[in-house]
Amino acid sequence: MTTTLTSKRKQPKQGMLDNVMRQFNNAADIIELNANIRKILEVTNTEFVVHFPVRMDNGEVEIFKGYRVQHNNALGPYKGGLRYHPTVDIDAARALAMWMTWKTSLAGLPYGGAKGGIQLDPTKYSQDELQRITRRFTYALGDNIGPELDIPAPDVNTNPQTMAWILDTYMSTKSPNERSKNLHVVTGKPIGAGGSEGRDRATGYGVFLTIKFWAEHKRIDLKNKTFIVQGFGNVGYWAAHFLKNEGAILTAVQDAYGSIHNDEGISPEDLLDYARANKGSISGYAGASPLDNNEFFGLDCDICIPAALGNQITVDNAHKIKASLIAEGANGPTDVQAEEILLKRGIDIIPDILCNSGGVIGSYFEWLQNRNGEIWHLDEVLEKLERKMRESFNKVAHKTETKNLDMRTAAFVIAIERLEDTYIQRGIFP
Amino acid sequence: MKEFVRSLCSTCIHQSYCALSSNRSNINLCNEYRQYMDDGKEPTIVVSDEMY
Repeated sequence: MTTTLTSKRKQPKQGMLDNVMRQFNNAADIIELNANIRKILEVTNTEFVVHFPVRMDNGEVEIFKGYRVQHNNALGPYKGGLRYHPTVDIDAARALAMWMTWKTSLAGLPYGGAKGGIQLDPTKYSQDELQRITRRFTYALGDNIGPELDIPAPDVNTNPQTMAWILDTYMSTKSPNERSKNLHVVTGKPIGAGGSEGRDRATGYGVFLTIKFWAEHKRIDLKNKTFIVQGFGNVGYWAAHFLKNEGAILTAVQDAYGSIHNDEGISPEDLLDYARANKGSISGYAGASPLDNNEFFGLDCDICIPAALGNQITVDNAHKIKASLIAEGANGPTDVQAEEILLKRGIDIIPDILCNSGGVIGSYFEWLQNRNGEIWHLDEVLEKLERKMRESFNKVAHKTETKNLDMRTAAFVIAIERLEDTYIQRGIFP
Repeated sequence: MKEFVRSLCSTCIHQSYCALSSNRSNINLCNEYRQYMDDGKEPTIVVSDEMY
């Protein structure tokens, strides 16, 4: 039985799903998507809900609930993260699985979209318990995941170690001469267990690349251009690092602990060293002055990179933004009304689905290396990433100009058109 | 699970002082999100990286 994702009865608790469906419907209307294909893409292909028992450290048995939602595989195996969090449920998994379908389609990868996880609070479990939970969940999913079927990856509260456990468990269920053929059942693995070089910086490097391509497209020199970054995690730091190498100047940073600024420039490397020695916090960094958090987005700069979380640029601050480009390193940092204001003001937005797709492309490279028995050097990974991201950016830029669309709509249109073409060419069985 | 609404902020170590957002009831993704195990050993690397 299929579940229509736009069920009215469930609307009150489906914020994220509503958002994804709205974006899909908007793009589908613009391209006048074939009505039958719209029906297919509106629903998920397969949804697994598994209950499985795990013995805790104290000897008691606890039952866990795990999910895996496979939205669409017209373009290739399902691909998407596994998260461990109390908020994991079927609706969140559906929305995120659908989002992955658009993302992999736009990036030109041979993947579909999936998402899943386990509903639990990891702080309540020991590492040994988490290992047993992960292994038993993998066993419960069985052959519903697989290197050519559905390829999980890290997400909230899962990491390379979690992926190594999944890999080991999955391989153990295969006959001995099949085992080493299954290294690509997950991506985001530790390097020693088949992970790829450059995976740590792939997303941040991708953010930087889209900014570089945008500047080339607009015939702007990035040298001496100023930029601000919200979020100094993996994405924010690497984007800042590569932009600085290109001659741009980091003038302000905001993270969970507060905001800092220095018009003369902040060294991303020094700031990272400071933050590492300061329990992850950027506040108190001697090379910059503290700044009121509310003033952050109104700072004078050329490029603004929200790389932390969603709904940061809203009607309250959109009119204050002085940057001429917003590069969405995070997912959904600009809300719908804010985007209207920004576009009217002539501010360009590189949409999240394009801007932060370096990560999933990095995952694809890991999968390819495992599949082909190759190990690529870091330079090779970054070079291939640049080529792939340039293709995506050029497609979006071309669509933006020829169809007179904003970049976000253009990106969705490209993603959905690719799926439409596939269905039209292949037809529907029987 | 009602207490968690739909936000991952509820289990983030930055929750009490986080400067990024006052609207935390609907946050599913955050690259600053971090969570440590109770026993205070190594963090369970917990950056919400939605990019895979």
